[in-house]
Amino acid sequence: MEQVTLNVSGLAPPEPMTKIVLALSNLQKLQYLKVIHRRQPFPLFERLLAGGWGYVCNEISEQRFIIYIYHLRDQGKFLALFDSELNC
Amino acid sequence: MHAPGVSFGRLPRIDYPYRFFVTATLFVIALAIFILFSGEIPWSNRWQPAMLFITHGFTLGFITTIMMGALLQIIPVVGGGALPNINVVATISYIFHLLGTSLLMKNFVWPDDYSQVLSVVFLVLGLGIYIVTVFGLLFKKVTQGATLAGIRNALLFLSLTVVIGCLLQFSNAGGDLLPANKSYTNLHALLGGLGWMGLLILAVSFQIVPMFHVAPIFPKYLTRYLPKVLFLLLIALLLIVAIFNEVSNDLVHYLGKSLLLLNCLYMVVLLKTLNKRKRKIRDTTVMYWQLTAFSMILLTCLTFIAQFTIIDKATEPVVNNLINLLLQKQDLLLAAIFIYFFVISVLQGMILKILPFLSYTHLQQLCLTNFKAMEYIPHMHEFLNKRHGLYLFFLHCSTGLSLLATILIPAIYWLFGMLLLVEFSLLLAIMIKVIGLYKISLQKIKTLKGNNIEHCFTE
Repeated sequence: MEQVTLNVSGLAPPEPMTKIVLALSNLQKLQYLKVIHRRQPFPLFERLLAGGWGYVCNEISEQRFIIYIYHLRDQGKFLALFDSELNC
Repeated sequence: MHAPGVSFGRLPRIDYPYRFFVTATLFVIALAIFILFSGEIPWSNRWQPAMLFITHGFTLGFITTIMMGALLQIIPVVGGGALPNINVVATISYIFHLLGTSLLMKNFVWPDDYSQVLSVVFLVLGLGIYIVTVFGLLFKKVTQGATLAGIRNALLFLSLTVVIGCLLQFSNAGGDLLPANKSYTNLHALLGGLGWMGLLILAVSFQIVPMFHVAPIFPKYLTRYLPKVLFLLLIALLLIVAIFNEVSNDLVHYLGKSLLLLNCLYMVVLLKTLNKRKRKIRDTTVMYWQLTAFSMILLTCLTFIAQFTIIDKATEPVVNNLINLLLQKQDLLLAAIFIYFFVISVLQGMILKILPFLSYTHLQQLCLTNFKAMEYIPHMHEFLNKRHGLYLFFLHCSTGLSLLATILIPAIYWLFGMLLLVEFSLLLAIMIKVIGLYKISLQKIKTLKGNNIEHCFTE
């Protein structure tokens, strides 16, 4: 799978969400999004699930979160990749 | 990792907070009209029935109403989870709060037994349902964080303020529960002001300032200990009054001043934090935060200065008279600075930020099920014109200054009434524009094929 990285940590709301939605609209098959964020965007998580997306959120520090977003059709491949390479 | 089946804070329908915001603004517009027709009498002292009408119009009608609406959105966003039975709670608490506040205000000026009883019943129901629901949610949270813990503490003081308010109403009706002195009235004001409003502003600022202004998070020692210290000081205040039935003793004065001083020191930290924000573009909400902070600093300084003011008989008579007037009116002046410049400034700044943000976010979330919807979402600046926000800010400053002037010179009450009416009419116009644009955009998105719209503004 191919990673697309998006750093929204320096943006004020609602720009992070805007960038994330735009990036998701451009994601191709077998691509996943890696988002570097200052916060955990709680309202986004539930909508992701409703929209057919899965996600993993890792807290690196109090103001640094890595959020992986993938399409649910690619879930198996993503989780395999995550367990083997990304979850370090 | 995400946990399937756990609700991480689904945003409630957008019309729930909006009804609170619009109603709160209408309260102040009604208040402004009242002020224009009530003449100079309310401004002679804080115990005038018309002044009580005005005070509660601001504190209950505007401030508490806005905060109730805002918390419905803030709690899910900061990870507090979805409020249970939100439809019922947001509707019933809204209706009872609106009725209770209106009757309470009416009863100050045009008293009658029915409205006195009904106002208490409705307010207890409205605020009670709301507080119990939010409390119940926050108590279940395993990890609280400073903001959620602070909101819970603020709601506790709202409850205590309401209880004391009910006891005062009962006493006014001839009941014999409270002592005849003004100790419980002052306690009601302190717990409502520094407890409910002060603690909530503190808790919310921990999240909102770093979040919306890309500023550093507040120091851990501050977010961890300051709310606890303030909480304990307020509880100590409550216990002292309850045990000794007296507010004039030195210990209570020291507690009050300590509370102010701690809030003042926090505001200095807040100013420094804002100064470290990444994007230093002009932002009206930042200006409101700065006004809020400077107001608390000024308020604290004035409170300490008032204690030490010595009237020198050799001073010029004009200066002597001015000092006498300031000391005579210090209660009203300090309350005005607290309510208008400290609390209402924060709320207006927050509304200007939250209104377009909420509208945009709600529409944006629909795009996750249909990306084509993105083209129908207006830009943030279309929701709120920056210039209008700036006009509102300067109007707010002018109105606040006219309020202080009216307290000293009651004959110019009409100026304060006019400015208040214009200011909050502009705020209402801004709200209506944002809501209108949201509805139009939502309608366009709804017509797109394949959309499953759950959060509709109207059924």
